[in-house]
Amino acid sequence: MGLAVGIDLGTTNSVVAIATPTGVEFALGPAGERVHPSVVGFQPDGSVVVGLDAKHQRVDFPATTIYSAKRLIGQNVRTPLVQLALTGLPYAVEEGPNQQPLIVIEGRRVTVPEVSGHVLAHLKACAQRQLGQAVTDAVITVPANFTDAQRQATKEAGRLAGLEVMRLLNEPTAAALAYGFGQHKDETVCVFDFGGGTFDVSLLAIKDEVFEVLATDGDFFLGGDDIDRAIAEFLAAEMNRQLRVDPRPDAGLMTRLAIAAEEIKIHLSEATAAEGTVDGLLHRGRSLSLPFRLTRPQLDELIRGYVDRTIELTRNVLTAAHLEVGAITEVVCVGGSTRVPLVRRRLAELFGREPALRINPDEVVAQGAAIQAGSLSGALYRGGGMATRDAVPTAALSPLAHGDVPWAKAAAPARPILLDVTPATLRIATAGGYSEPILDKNLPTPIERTRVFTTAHDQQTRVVIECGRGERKRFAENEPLGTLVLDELPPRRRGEVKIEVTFRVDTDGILHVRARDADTGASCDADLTILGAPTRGAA
Amino acid sequence: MAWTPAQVLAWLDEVEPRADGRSHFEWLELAPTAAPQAIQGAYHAIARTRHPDLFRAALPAADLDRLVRIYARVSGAYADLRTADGAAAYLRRVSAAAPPAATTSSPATAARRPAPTTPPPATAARRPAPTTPPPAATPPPAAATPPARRAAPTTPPPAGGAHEVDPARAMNPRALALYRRAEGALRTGDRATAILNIKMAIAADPGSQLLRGALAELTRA
Repeated sequence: MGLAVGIDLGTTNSVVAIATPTGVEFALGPAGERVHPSVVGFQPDGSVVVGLDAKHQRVDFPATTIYSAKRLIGQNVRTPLVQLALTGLPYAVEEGPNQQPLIVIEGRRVTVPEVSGHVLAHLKACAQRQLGQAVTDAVITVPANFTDAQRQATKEAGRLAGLEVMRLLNEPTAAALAYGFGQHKDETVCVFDFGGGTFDVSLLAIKDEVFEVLATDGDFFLGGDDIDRAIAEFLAAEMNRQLRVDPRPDAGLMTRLAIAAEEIKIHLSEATAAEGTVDGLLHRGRSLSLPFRLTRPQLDELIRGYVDRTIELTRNVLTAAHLEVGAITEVVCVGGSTRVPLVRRRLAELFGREPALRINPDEVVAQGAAIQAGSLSGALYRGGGMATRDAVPTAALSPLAHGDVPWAKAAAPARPILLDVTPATLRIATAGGYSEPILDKNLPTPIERTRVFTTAHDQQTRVVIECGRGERKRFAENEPLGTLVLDELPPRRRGEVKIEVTFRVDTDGILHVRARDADTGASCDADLTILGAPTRGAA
Repeated sequence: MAWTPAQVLAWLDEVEPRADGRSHFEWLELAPTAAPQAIQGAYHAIARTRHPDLFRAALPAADLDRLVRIYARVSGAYADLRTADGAAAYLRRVSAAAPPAATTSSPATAARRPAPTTPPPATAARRPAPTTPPPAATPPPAAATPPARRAAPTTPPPAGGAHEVDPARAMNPRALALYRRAEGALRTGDRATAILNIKMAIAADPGSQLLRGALAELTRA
């Protein structure tokens, strides 16, 4: 087996790291960057560029430069929220087999796992170049509230990149691991993960190297991109007002404004006002310049709704875990959006303490993934210390290049235990358009639970079990997961046939469903087809 | 510390045949009288020793899959018991249904009585109970003949010290786990808990002479 790395596959940026006996080492990109943009550029000659190079070509080739693929991975393209997300994208997306989104690049159709696979292959190449050894295995992090289809699609992306995905690790759990591993302290931490495209908040109890998730909640479609978009909308309105040009129908102009918006956001994290000019706005053959001024209070006003939502979800998760605010011993910030001063202020107000900033919020998830990768591959040892050190750019200086370090072999393997939870209620449809939960939200995984159902009609020989995910009593208001058919039941009076429905969530958070006829003992197994999941060989 | 793969396999062999009949408390290796505060600790103890992640490299895929399935049942039990409301709902559900065979024997009923709250006398604490049990080879009295004893696993679960008679041979693994807990309680001077655990162990393995001897000695002291 080659080396096992930890990968934070983010919406906007990705980070790859490896646990070494002396600390966690980050793999750098070609320009020495620790944070790799999750951007894939498809070139006219058929080649592919990834990372910083791809990000740089985004303005010139908006239709063939794919970013934020994570927002689409494993999604059912018909979902209203996905349709909404598509309206802001400069590249074309259409519906493929199994209702999965396909990205159209100059007539060619590319699956979303393929795009993410290119990102992962790039990260793998960066790590191999730096470490001078083959990288074969990976722990990849995903948002805690990722669905089954999203998890399977992420695994598929890993497979396409030639990586054995040892584990999909939930991002907040990874962050808590990076924060608490080797600290030997009992803590109850709140991991507040406000990234580029998603928001997650989780509460964890850390006790003697056991990391137990108590509750988790989040919002798929809430992130730094929304803050950028709010600023871009502000700039678009300014452009319309000052220059009498409406940039909104023009993907190229909006991309330029979005890039400026991100820079303004970052500037306003330090300064109280941002003032300047957006240049290079190409309109009808002319290059326009847009002067602007945005103060921090104005920005706060633009993004207040998004930040309110994160605080509301944080309160919800405290309620779900039956915890008071005072029980939280530490608040761990993850994701670049936690640098926004309004976010920090609201968090400090809620918890009555400043959030912990010991670990860089852009790197904390990859660091946790690297620790878990080391643990699962048996390469992590006690007493090694997990302080991050600067990446060593040459293979010759990497301790891994010389094989195992002798003292590390004698030490006991360090095995932090991660106890995760189900991110949403998993349920089945029942008579009258209602539904019954099989597995509730926030249950420890891996978990299995069986419930017994019965037939609704006399002489019924076939039952159709519709599975869904969500918190609503009416089945149709939940996200459909797929359908399971149990055939050849003995014809009996209604209520006389007992059907056991078993939901099992494995260590990756992937759902397995089974239906069985309990009375005849004949086990009628069936598999679930998950909508939005990648189909092998599609496109 | 994590168990050895052999210990895990012995545990799987033990629990799989009657996985459907086990109570939530049995999955968590707790007495039905366990305090709510003990639930999390019991789950963590199982996680520390038997979480599937610990055996990813050490067990073949098929056995790892068995472990995930059994561990998933432990999680299911924990999910129901970890909150006071959930535990109350579970107890209501169980008492409404016919109680499972394993918990209807009289020692278990005895064990459900509230434990005495008086601190244990120092003399009891000094003297570990199961030092002079009848030899394991002694056949049990006819009346107490257990229903089909399982063979003890070849590898005992961890913890515990040296004994003249190996408790691992004198009782089934389920009882042994409780017996070990009784030993632990005695070491901290908590005789009430020790008695409770021995009674639970007898419920799990009514035929073990060692356990009956231990109980007699503990209650005499």
